[in-house]
Amino acid sequence: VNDPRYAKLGVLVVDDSPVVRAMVSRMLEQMGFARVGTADDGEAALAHVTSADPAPNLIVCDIGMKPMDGMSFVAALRALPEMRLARLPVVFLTATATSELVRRAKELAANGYIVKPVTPEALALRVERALFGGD
Amino acid sequence: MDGFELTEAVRSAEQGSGTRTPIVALSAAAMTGEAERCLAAGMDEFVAKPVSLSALASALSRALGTAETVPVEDDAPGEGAALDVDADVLRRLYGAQREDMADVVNLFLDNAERQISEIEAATLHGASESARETAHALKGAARSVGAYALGDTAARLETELRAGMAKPDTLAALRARLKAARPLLMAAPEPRDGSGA
Repeated sequence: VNDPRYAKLGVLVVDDSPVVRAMVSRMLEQMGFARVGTADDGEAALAHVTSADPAPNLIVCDIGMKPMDGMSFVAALRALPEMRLARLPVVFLTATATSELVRRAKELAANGYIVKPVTPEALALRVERALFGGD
Repeated sequence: MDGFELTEAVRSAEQGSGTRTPIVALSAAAMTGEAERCLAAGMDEFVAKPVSLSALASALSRALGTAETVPVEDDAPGEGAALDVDADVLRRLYGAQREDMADVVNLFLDNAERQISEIEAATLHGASESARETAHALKGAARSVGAYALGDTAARLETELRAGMAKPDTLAALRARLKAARPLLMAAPEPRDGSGA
């Protein structure tokens, strides 16, 4: 499960549920990520991305959150002046996959989309594709 | 013929006919990365297996363009009711690393206990919006750990609260579902053939 390619990378988990945050964080730690940060809404996530040193290399993000939801967060992220941050790969987590949500995720250049419940297999697959591409 | 080929055939047969048959994809939880592939292929909605009645109902109502939420009598015990705990979801979670996931399950159980108390207190004081938000959070957390029956009951309560009134039966069912799920969640299933470990 542990992938040495992740040993120097950081990831930010954004979800309003403490249970999902803990679960996804543990899965990412087991995959070998060096740093796993968490945020409970888009505003906290934006603050983390712009202040963390080093900044995360990947964001795993829920959609329905308050006050700032996941889509608004990624829109704000993509608009950041620092290209390195604006282009961070994003994998969305969602309870429902509607064609409307997937269309909006694509418009935001999201790199993956996982329908909950999150399993280690689905997460590993999406994270690998988001960071290293391929199919 | 798989679902992608079927969708392609249906969509091409529909061309020029002015009709569009809604198609809802059903796919295994491990394959949930397929959602965008299904939707890109022309399907309208995606439901991950194991399918809960409420997830199916909301996907169908969206696909058919009917009411946003339909009340579903899905927490009655017996045939067709959602599993208290889906051992497959739990096995995948625990398969990753048992101790870590035991912590997550304990966190879920502590939170769920507190959330149900909050929902009870809020409904007692007529704070349905706050109760609804807590029910929504409980629903998501429950489904994440595979506690589908509890998740479905929370979903049903959420629907009732959105309409302004929680039924006492639904509130009582919430406690009953948590009680039923607790021992199943605590007794982590043995990993199957050691995969995922």
